[in-house]
This record gives sequence, structure tokens and C-alpha cells, in this order.
Amino acid sequence: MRKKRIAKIMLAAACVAAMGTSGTAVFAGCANGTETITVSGSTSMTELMQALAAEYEDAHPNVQIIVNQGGSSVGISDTKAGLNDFGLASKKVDEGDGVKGVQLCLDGIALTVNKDCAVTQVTNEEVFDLYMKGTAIQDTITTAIARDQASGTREAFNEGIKDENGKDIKTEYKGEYDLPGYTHAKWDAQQATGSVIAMIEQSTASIGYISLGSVLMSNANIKALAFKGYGQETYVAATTENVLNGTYALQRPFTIVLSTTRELSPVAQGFYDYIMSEEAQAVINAEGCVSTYGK
Amino acid sequence: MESEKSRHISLHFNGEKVASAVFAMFAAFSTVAVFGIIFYILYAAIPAFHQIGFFKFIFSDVWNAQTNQYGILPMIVGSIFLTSLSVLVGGTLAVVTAVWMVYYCPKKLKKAYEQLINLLAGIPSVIYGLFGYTFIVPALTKTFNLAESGTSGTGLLASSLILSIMILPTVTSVAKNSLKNVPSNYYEGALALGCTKNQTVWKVLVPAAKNGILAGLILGIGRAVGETMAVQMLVGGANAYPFSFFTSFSTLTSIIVRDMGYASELQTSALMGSGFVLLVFILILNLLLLLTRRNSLGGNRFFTRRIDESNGIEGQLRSYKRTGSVQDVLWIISWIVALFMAFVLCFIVIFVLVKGLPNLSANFLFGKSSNRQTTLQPAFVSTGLLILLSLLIALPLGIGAAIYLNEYAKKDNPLVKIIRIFIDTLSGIPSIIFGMFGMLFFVTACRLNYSLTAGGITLALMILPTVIRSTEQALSEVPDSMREASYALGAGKLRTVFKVVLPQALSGIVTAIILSIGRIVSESAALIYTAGSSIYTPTGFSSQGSTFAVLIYRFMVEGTHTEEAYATAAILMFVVVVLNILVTLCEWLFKRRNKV
Repeated sequence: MRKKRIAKIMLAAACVAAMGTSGTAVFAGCANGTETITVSGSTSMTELMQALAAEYEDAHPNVQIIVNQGGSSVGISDTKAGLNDFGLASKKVDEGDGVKGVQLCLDGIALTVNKDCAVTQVTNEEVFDLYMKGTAIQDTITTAIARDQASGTREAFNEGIKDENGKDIKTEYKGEYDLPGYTHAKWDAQQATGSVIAMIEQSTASIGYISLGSVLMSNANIKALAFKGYGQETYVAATTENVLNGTYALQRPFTIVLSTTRELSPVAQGFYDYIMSEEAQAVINAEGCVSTYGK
Repeated sequence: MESEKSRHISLHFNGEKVASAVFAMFAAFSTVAVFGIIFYILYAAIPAFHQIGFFKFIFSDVWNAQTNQYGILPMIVGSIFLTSLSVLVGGTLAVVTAVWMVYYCPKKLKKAYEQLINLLAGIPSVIYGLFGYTFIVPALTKTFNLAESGTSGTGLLASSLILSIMILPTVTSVAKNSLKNVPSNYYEGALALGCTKNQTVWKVLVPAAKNGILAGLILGIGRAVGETMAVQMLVGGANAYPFSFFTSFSTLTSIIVRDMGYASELQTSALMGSGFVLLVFILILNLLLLLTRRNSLGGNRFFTRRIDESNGIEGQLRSYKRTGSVQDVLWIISWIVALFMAFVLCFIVIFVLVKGLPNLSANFLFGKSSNRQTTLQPAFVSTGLLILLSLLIALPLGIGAAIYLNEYAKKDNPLVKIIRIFIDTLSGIPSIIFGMFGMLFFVTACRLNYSLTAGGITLALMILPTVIRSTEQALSEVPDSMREASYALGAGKLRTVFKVVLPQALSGIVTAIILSIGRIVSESAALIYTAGSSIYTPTGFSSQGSTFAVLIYRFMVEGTHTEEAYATAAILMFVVVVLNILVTLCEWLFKRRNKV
């Protein structure tokens, strides 16, 4: 009989434990009326938006900003469908089809190598030949690291690197680094900026493309190469200044996607006004992006 | 016989009939759930099959979102390669471990070793993924100097290593049971013919249990094919064939996690198609399992006496001389394997704790979670709410179903057989499929959005088979004499069930609760698509919420938060260990009670 009691106590304890945790939940739920803003879209913009959101939340304790990742296309489709307050796209968004884009800032795509790599500058042709034909860059860099197909960085890179006729990889080659003789297995597509960095750190013969902000913010043993774009005469260093003045060719806009059919809610408008304000530019620059405020 | 008698007694109670019908409905629910899942996934995949063409979808190797071409041949090949390799390695290790546990394990170690294997089964898939990604992959990259050739340690080798460890407990426990079921006559007969112990074990007893071992291997295959989170972190994720150990590739499951967040309409449908192909694989495996089960798990119709464990066959047998034959080598290998597995487990647990505990702080545990700093406080609340909701749904359903199966249904009722098959099928469905179904049905069709409600209901479906089985097991152990005594005192069937039988089966219900909690805290794949992965404290069942496992995944995906991922993993590991101890404690308590 005593054992039975023990069993009952255990059952009761399990129930109490479950109730207890849920009790705290309800308690937490009663806390002051928080207002929620949802933004969704480009993964490249996630870190920037989280930093901006953190600043804004500090100043407005009852606002919660949910930053959902998904990719630029999700940012646009969510905005159309009304699933978010506004969307994020790491590319230019034209007005039409119920949405319009407002540029938040610029971001460079850095061709990144190990700090110990002898190469300091590359041309569009060299990069194209390595990624599409496997030709080594300056006899030193033999390995190209790619991102996965869902990556916005990959898309921007594919738009920026062109063949001898000025046709880019994205439109002319369906975004795939394939030529006759190419095997899928040759490409080790990395799923995150972090893993590209990790690979570059381990080899002096590899090159990869990541957001310039990530290179500038990273304390890893990596560096960004100067780049001579298609049709350009000189090498241009990968710096925020050169992204801003447009000479560094591998760049893309970070865009806020707004619906043309519905207004922002007052609380979302507050956050939108903040990220577009002068005050927010320090955060944008601190994240390695290039503020275009007032320019 | 017993049920007929009871029906006679309960004729004048109207409530009895209603109750019986309700229990039958609960039991049939699993069947509905399985059909619902198959139907919904197929329904969502049809646009892809239709627009791309079913044949092209299966046999094309181009997966390109920009050109809207989707073919899953590389993923099918990837899944098959990965599964074969893991089952080859993990299955072999598992069978050897099972043999060691049954025939060679010193008596004093037996309980402890069983605990180790149970713990291995309890470690959440994300933790395996985290461990593989931060330990195995860099180790492989370094050992094989992969960075020089531009690849990393991700790929077939890393993923199959981790997967081998993950499927081991599943295969071991089934193989162990069937080995235990081999009649002692076989054993004694072989000894009487002059075999040594090692010869007997490897040449007589293991072949005698081959059906059970096969069933274990099939279950292992099911587990390996459906595994998602750990695999997704380790395969690399390229749309390529895994023709070398370090090539980045994808499986049917990993591609779903990789692309679902980004997918456009047709791509979503193609991912559902990938899920459907996976589901078909699982259903075929279930069918195979059914066939092997039919041939009975070890055992024998004529000889039913088993080796009496309490007498300790190990001690009794050590006196038989060894001959230096192949079987003696196998005996040594089994020791090595068993010790190696124990080492691996301890290493993983200690590695996670050592990496995680130093990163824990009061602020990280209980501080306010925001974009500035993600803390674990929301996970405590979300996990609590999810446990509450899913148990509230699954317990009544599961207990009701178990009551029907054990108390009401006739033993040879074909309907009951079918229901049992569906319960088994439901338990074999991988969590990613539950996640996709939850997203299609609860989140979208029922308009629950990403919410704890949607997550909780999905989890309830997942734990239902556990609840049913565990309760049924306990019910079947209640002696018939108790029921007869109750009827004799004039109690109706319903009263007998609730007042006499069910209280006796409390052990099963408590075990079911603990096992379910274990499943819920370690689940991630199903929750990401149903409850979202918010970093905020949920304010009720309609808000999003992340459990610890989901947060680990989130920390890992962001790439820069490995410390936080490990800290969270340490907490989760602690919870899993505690739950494991609780289950054992429970079983021990009830066993003692039953003996009295």
C-alpha cells in the first residue's frame, strides 16, 4: 500500500511540475501589454536588424521585435501577404505588385582569403575562371568556396561576376557554377558565413565570398581582396568608402520592403522611423554595413 | 472469455456501451492520424509532382530555385548511402553490444550498462548535431588535411559516424530482447554437445535470434532515414551525390530543413514531395517490420523456457574452456565494442557539460530575453506549456486507446490488429514529417499560425504511441483475478476499469508521462515548423515559443553563438539525465511493489 502511495505522489509531483512551469508562463503573460513588430526576409540582414532592434528595444521596453529569417524572396512575399510589418531584402526591390523598396544601406561582397595568402588583389576574369573553369588565381588560389543556393550573398556574387561578354553568372549560367566537365561533387557549398570563414582560416589556397561587414567585424585570420570589376581599369580596395562611392563593384543594397496597400502600424512606424534616422546610422556602420543616410 | 462475461454483466448499464464506443474511437484515432498525415503530405506534394512530372522529380539531379527545377535523385541517393553506411556500422556495433549485454556483461554492471544505452537513446538529435559539427567535423578536417583541398569534414563520414551512434540504442534494445527470448534448451543443448560458451553464443544463440535482430536493424534503418537535425548539420548541404567521404551532399530530410524557410510556392511543394518520398520509405520499412514480426521475435513455439537471469549464466559458464576459435575472437571484440560504446557516451556527455557549464550564468538562464541577448527564460516557459498541452491531449487519448485494446477488444479481433499496426506506424514516422504535417494542417489549414497550440497538438500526436504502449503494457500485467474479484462484487466493467485496473497500471502511466516529457524536451524538427523559433517569452498558447532544443538549433544556425548553444545543451543534457534516472526509479519502485 505504501508503494502505491509513493506512485501517487510521483504522479502528483509530475502534474505539479507541469502546472508549475505553465503557471510561470501565465504569470509572465500577464506582464505589461507588450507590442510586437515582425520583420522577415534576407538572412544577410538578420544580424543588422537584430542590432537595430536591440537598440530600439532598449529605448522602448514594451516593444518586441521579431526578426524572422527566410531569404529576400520570403521578405517580399510575406510583405505582399501581410504576414509581417515590413520585409527585408538584400537586393533592389522595384515598386509594383503591391510592394515597394526603400534602401536602408549598402553592403559589399568581399572576396575573402586567408591573411597569410600571398594574393592581395584579383580581377573579375580571374574569379570567373576559378569558379567556372577551375583555373587557379595567380597560381596560388586553387579552391573556390561557394554558398548554398538559397543564399542572398551567392545571388549578389553571381550578379557581380561576369564572363568576357559581360553576362553575369546568375542570368547566363542559371546561378550554377557549372561548365562542361563540371561535376556537382566538386563544390562544397557552405550554408553559413561562419563556415566559409572557418574554411578560409584553415587554408591559404582558398577563396570565398562573404558580406564585407562580416569580414570587417570578424577577428578571424582573414582579409578582403582588392577587386577589379568587369570593364574597370584599376583595382579597388574593399572598403566601406569604396562601396559608398560605387567604385567597388561587388555590392548590393539592403532594402526595406513596404506594402503599398496597407499602412505601417503606429508601433512599426516608430521602429521604421528609427532605422531610417540619423541616430541609427552609427549602428549600421558599426555592423560593417555602409550607411547612405543623406546621400 | 473474460470479456464475454463482463459484457453479460454490464448489459443494463447504458453508460457502459457509450464508454466502450468512446474507447474504441480513441483507439482508432491513431489510424486516422496516420491517414491524415499521408493524405496531407501527398496533397501538398501534388503540385510539384504535377508541374515537374513525377518521373522527372524523382530521377532528375538538378535542384535549382532560380530556374524552378527540382529533382531529388541526389537526395534519394544521399539518404540511401548515409542510411546503409550508418546501419552497417551502427547496426553491427549494436548487435555486438546486445550480445555482450545478454551473455557477457558481468552481473553487477548489467543495470548500469542498460542505463548507459538508455541515456544514449535519450540524447536529443540537436545535441548529436552540435557535437558532430563542433567536434567530429573539425577533427576530420584536421586529420585528413581537408582544408588544403577546399573541403571540410562535413559529408558522408561525419554524418554516418554520428548516425551510427544515434541508431545504436534502438537496434540494441530490440536485439537484446530477442536474444533474451531464445529458449534455454538451445543453450543447454549446445553445451551438452560439447560447444564452448563462445561457440554456443555466436553459432547457436545469435542465429536463433536472427528475426529479432533483423527487426531491430529495420527499426534502425527507419530511424536513420528519418533523422533530420543532426544529419542536416553534418552533411554539408550541396545538391550533390555523396560519392566520396567528404563531399558535401543532402538527404531527403536535410533538404527540407535547409530550404523550407526560403522556399517559394513550387519549391515548398517539391520539399513536401521529398517528405512524401521519405514517408513512402518509412511505410515500406514498417511493412517489412510487420513481416519479420510475424515470424516471431526469437523464441520458439515448442520450447518456451528461457535462461533464468537470476541464476546468472555468466558465472555458471566461465568454467567452460576456450578454444581459440573465431568465436573467442568475437567474444573479445564484443568486450572492446561494449567498452568503446560506454566511452563514447561518457565522452559526449562530459564534452557537452564541460563546454556548456562555464557559459552558464544566472542572467543567461533567467534574464529577460531580447534582441540584445537571447536567454533561456522563454525556453522554460515554452517547454512547460508544451508539456502541459501535449500531455493533456495525449494522456486521455492514449490511456483510452490502451483500455480499449487491453480491456474491451477481443484478442483475435482483426480490427485490433489493424489498429496496432497503425500505432506502430505512427511511432515510426520521423519527427520532420510530423513537423510538415503540423505546418500544413494545424498552422495553415486550422489557422493556428505558428503557436504553442499548434506545436503542442503536433507533439501530442508524436507521443501518443508511447503513451498507448506503456499504458497497455502495464494494463496487461494486472492479473485477471483482480478483474474477476471486482465483477464478483457486482461492479460493472467501467467501474472495474477505473477503480481496479487503472490504479494498478499507474506505473505504466507515470512511465509514459516521463518518457513523453523526454521526447518533448528533445524535439526540435517538429517544433520549428509548428511553434516557430521566437526568442521571446510566450504570453499564452497562441504565441510562438522555443524549447531548449529549438534554441540550440537557433544558436547554431547563427554561427556566432556556439558558447550559448553548448550552455543550452548542458541544461538539456542535465534534464535528459534526470528524466532517465526518474524512469529507472519508477520501474524499480513498481517492480518491487509487484513482487510484494
